[in-house]
Amino acid sequence: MVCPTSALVMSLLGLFFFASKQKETSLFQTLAGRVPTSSKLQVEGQIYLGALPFNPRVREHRKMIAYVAQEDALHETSTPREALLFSARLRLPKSMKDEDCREVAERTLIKLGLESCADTLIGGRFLKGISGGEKRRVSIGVELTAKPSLIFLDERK
Amino acid sequence: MCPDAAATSGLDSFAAKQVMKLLKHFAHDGGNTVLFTVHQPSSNIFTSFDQLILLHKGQVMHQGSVDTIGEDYERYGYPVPNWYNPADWVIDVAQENSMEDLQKSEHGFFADAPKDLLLPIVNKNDVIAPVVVQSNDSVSSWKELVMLQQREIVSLHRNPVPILINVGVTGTLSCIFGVIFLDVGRQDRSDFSVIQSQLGAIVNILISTLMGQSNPAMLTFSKDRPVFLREYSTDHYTVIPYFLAKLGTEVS
Repeated sequence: MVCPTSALVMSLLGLFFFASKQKETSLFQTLAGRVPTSSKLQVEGQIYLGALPFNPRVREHRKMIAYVAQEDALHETSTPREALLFSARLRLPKSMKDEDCREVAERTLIKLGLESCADTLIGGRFLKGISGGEKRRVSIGVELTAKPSLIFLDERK
Repeated sequence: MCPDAAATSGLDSFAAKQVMKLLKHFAHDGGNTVLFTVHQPSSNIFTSFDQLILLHKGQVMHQGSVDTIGEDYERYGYPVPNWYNPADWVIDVAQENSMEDLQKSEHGFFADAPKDLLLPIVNKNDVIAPVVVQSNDSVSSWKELVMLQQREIVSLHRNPVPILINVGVTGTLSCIFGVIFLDVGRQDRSDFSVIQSQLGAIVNILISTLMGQSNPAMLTFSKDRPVFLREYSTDHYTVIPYFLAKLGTEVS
């Protein structure tokens, strides 16, 4: 895979939005290819990545981007370690060996400071689990393990 | 403590810093791009950004490097006060002044035409490889099915309550129906009301079989939906392996 964004001068970009929460999320979702086709939302204009047209609705294009949504949507009965490994095994190229996937997941766990809760259930409404901040980090970690070229981080409301 | 800082919200300041450090490493050393939406970042989060785009009422109010935000705002006529978080200041300026005031030409907000906006960021002379991802590097559907099925089974072991409730409810209802329609089948069919009872028994059995299966599915649907949507849209798996894995769990 070629990494077209390496040509981008920009690396970390902070976006400030004062428009209503809904508009902001729509813009972000459009850029990340998350707007459902059935939606009444009209999208005008062209999205460019680098200097080339980019269509986030195309699966091959979307593979390069990661999107961390406002709400954590994690599988409740998995542990953070399993969640990261699940993402690594299914989203990294087929040629990656299982040990390599494990290593990627392990490294991300350590970098995000999740070692202490790596084997605790994520949990949900009726199931005791890790804290909200830890869930947030797991959500980010799940996206990072897929090694995307572009990450979108949507703020929690 | 930064209660409102981007994807770092809900994190204490140490964890937020750690996440920012990781993302920065990912951006600078990995040659990747990270986009944040933020409302009110703390100053340390704010200064770790490189570029800033300020949107106000759907228009780009200001865009530029975070390092030069002080000079930029001084030029606009709204210098950042001493010891003030610039992130707070840009929000204050946008919210306390009317749109007309901000749009006055001497201030210089909203100046850039949309088409020129990305030019400082994207250097068009750079040779950019086409956006191509080899399509045959994804894992097979079989592996997706195996992984999903594994997760479902582990999930059943760790949280057996839903399945126990399912068995309990279906069992209790069946017992009640059984008592109501006790020995209906052995009665003489010459009486019309007996035939009615027998039909009623069959219908009740069918309904309880159907509802017994669909009730837990309805309960877990709202819980599983966001997870499925996220994982599906980020290409963890396709629909068919997911459906088969769910079906396999239901059957077992």
